[in-house]
Amino acid sequence: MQIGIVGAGHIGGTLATLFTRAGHEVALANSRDPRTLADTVAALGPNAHAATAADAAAFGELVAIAVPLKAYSALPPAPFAGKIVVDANNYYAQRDGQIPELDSRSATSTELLARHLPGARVLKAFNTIYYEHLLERGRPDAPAADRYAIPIAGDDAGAKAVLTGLIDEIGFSAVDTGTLADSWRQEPDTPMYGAEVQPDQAVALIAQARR
Amino acid sequence: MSVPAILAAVVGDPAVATLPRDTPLLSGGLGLDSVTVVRLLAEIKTTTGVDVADLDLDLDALATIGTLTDFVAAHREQRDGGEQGGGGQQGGGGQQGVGGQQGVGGQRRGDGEQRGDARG
Repeated sequence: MQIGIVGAGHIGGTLATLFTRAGHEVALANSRDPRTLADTVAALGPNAHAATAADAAAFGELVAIAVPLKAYSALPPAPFAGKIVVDANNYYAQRDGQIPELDSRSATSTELLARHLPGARVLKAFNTIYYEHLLERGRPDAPAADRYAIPIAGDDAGAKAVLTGLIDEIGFSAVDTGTLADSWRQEPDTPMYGAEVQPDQAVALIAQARR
Repeated sequence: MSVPAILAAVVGDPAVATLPRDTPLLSGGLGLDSVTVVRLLAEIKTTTGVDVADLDLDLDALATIGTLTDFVAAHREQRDGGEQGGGGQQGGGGQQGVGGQQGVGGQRRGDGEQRGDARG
């Protein structure tokens, strides 16, 4: 699969490593000139190349976004239309500034992204796991019930199925937390956030989330 | 409405109401996903007034149909202040012992459990 990754920090870089390792082609972008990623993509091997955010979005059937929430508005919406977009981000008011809709819990952070990218099939995933654990703790050989759970949310069942397959390939089990409106169940300060648990426990923790 | 009946309604399959009490709700059994569990617990809260997610911090009650049924029954009676003759609606005492067979039972926090035992 062709995968775009926007954001080359801890989570973006880790996803690039895992997806290239699994045999996918990755276009990796940061907020600067793609040339600044030359060393990074060289280390990732022949399945990776550096790109602008717009080109990474155009390249990917699935595009992961791992940039701070305050950088959403700088993303060009057009190349994301029709793509499966995976939002790995979290709202931290100290970093992102106060966003009244999120403070009042009338929207989820991923709903804000979806509004900015009309036509994109937006999901939320990879926002709850520490990047080193994402890098090291996948167990592709283990039964699904024994792996660590990665919660995912979204409104598009087909997109969720694709992402679930990718998560399976890198050795984790996707656990559905519901729609984008429900995705607060995997936001910071909920039981599932940062939890390293197997799918059954994840189901329980997700059910226990309180707003 | 009993927990098995609520479960059957949420899952949309009447046959679920007749499954054995030791049927796991999650993997190895019904395989409910978290969205369904959220709906199930919401429906139980609406119907019985028992907020399982709020009362059972580890959610061990989600182990099997039986553990969830017992948990709700214990907390429902507690909530209703030990109403007279109320046991009939849950089939009460007979179910209490079964929970002990569950492996997970040992880790349980147990306000409701203990009260259930004392009553039984």
